[in-house]
Amino acid sequence: MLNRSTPILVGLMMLAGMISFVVTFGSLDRGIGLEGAYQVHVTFDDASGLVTQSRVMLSGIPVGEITKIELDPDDPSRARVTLAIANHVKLFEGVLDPATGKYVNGASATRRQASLLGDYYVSVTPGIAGKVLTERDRIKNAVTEAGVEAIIGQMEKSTSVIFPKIEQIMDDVGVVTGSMRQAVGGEDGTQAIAEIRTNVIGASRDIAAISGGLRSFLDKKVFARGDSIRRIVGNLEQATATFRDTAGRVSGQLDTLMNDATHVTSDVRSFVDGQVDPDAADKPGTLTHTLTEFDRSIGTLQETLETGRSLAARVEQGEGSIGRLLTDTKLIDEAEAVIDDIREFTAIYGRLQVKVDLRSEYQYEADSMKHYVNFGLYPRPDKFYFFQLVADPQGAAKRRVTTTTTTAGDADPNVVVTDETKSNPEGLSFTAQFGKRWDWITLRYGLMESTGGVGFDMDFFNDALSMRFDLFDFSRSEWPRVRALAAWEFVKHVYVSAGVDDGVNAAHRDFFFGVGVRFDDDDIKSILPVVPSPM
Amino acid sequence: MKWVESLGLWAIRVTESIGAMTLMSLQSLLWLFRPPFRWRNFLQALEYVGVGSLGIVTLTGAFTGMVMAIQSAYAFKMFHAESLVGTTVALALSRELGPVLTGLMVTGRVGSSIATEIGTMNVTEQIDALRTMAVNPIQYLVTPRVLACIIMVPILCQLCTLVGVGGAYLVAVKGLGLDQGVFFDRIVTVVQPWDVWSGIIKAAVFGLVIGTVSCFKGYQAEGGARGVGVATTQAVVISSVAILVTDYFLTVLMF
Repeated sequence: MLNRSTPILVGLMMLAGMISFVVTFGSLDRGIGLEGAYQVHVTFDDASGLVTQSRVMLSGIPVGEITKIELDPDDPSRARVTLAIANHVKLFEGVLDPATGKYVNGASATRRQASLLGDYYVSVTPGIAGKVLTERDRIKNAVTEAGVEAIIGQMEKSTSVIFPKIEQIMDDVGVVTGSMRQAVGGEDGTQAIAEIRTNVIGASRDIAAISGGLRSFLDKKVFARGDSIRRIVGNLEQATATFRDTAGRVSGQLDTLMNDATHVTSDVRSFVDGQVDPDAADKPGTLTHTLTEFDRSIGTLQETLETGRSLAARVEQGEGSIGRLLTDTKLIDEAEAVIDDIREFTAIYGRLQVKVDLRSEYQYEADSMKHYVNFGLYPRPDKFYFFQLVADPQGAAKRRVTTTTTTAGDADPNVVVTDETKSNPEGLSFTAQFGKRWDWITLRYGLMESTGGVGFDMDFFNDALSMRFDLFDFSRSEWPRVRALAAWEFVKHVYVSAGVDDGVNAAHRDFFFGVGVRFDDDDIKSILPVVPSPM
Repeated sequence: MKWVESLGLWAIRVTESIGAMTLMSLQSLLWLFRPPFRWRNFLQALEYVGVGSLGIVTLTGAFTGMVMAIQSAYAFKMFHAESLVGTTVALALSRELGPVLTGLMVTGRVGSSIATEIGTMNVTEQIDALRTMAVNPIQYLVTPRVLACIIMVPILCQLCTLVGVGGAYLVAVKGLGLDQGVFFDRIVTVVQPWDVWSGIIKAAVFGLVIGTVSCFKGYQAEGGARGVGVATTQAVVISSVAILVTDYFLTVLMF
């Protein structure tokens, strides 16, 4: 038999799976969307290492990707690389320098190596002068630079400088050894060297004799008196060395001491000066200033407390949006009027069940409230029509409008491109869906917040726990908007909800939580007499 | 000439099995669209295949990720490219290891039990009893299990991959002290959505293989307890081999 916990476990598993998909695909880098980009060409002498979808970087920040690599149709000996650059990055063509025939101050593209392992990317600089590059234009300055290859190239270049120098030195050495050979070579040379040798031998014999005499003299005359002289001399040496060391150390320490004393006195003097200064209160860091600031902080704190008190009073009186929400009966009055209408309607179509659902949500990222009023019309328990009014201060549907203004006349037409985001000023959007339910699964399709959408619901425990998934707003350039919501009716008619909105598009992702109440026909009949009446 | 004969017989048997298995999976998919829909059976199968295997699959993923991080960090250290550790683990897990390990784990845990269950029902003539009650056994037993495998194995695979990358993160960043920012940045720049999709598609195919082979082997069991044991063993062996072989061909097809 079916375990009581089976549906919830399977539901949790499905939810975990969906979250993992959203996390994975939401965080993967899809590069820049090609819709928001324009394509420019650049011609390299050597495009080896570049592949399509490689990054294009400006100052180390990805601004595009490579879309195509082919031989240049104009010059088949070179490689033409097509780059898709994000629209917000403006590249300049540069100005033709008639002297050199080259474009200066324009955009440039460089093939760079990202790591030693040999993955390459294209680095661009935007340039500053000339016309702005648009679709299918060409970046005039292309630099083919390759990390390791460049280094090897430089090494080759420097060796070509070094080698001639080494050759020169070798030549000099050759000259020197040549002249030496001349000096020593021949019979004269050999004889001279032999003479020198004889002299040296004689001299060294003399020296040996002299040193022998000296030693015997010393042994007999000096060292006979013994070790005392040696000791005295040794002690003297030691004493002078110690004295020298000590004097050096002491004088160094004295210097430091004097310096410190000078600093301290000057610091004290300037501090005292600062306190005496009548304008000291305005100067940060002085004692007087600190006291003044402290005084002021206390004042600000008091003001803040006052503001808090008055805010609380205003909320109590029903002022401001929070106050209105707490005290105003207008919303419930309007709902009552609508319900009255619906009651009339249901009187005609007796079997038609009506479910009303009011919900307010706090959206975390947008820091705003969103309100929903839902009506479900159920001709049969498993079939329903679902209407929803959404009040969203963020604007229901955001559309980007691109305006292009062309000023004709000059030889150089001036193109102004303006991008602006327009949103529904009322912030009201409308949902109308048709739904069909099988056991605990419900499928919906139709309008969702004023765009086309489909929905998928799961309800467990007599509908106390529901999970809703909405997929809508397919017209955007990004992924469609996905909203996942879990609602738990913890007391009869009252439920709390939480979920994630636009989970796939990291830029618009938002988390929300809210509270709602929901009634069906019978509940409405029993609750209508007790709500405050506008009459 | 006896071996030629036995070889031929073997080839015929294998071909026959493949054909019968294909027919069975087609039948089970056809029964998807014909009432009565047996939600309870399906839900039970989803729970058994998915929720039941979650623990072992995430455990496998976590330790695989951790071991891969240690080994690849050791290798990349030799030429100072530790920044590629995260990329290597994430790519390998999302393309190959995630689907294959998940498939093998689910085979061991779920495939064997499906084969045993259906095999036992078969040898005790419970399947015949179903037929006498005008219940189609394929629809009652096979369809929910195959469908549950097709749906749950990709989800398990995705969770396995994420947990594996988490394990690699723990080992590489917290354990070996690699740069956290570089670890994640390289993953999101190098791993493309298609890498993840290919893993998910593989996992779905593996799910189909596991469900079909296990149900088929159970369905074919005959001759009492021993027959059921043989059927279970064959289901696990054939599913595992089929997963590895299919994986190769899917990889060739997709990349």
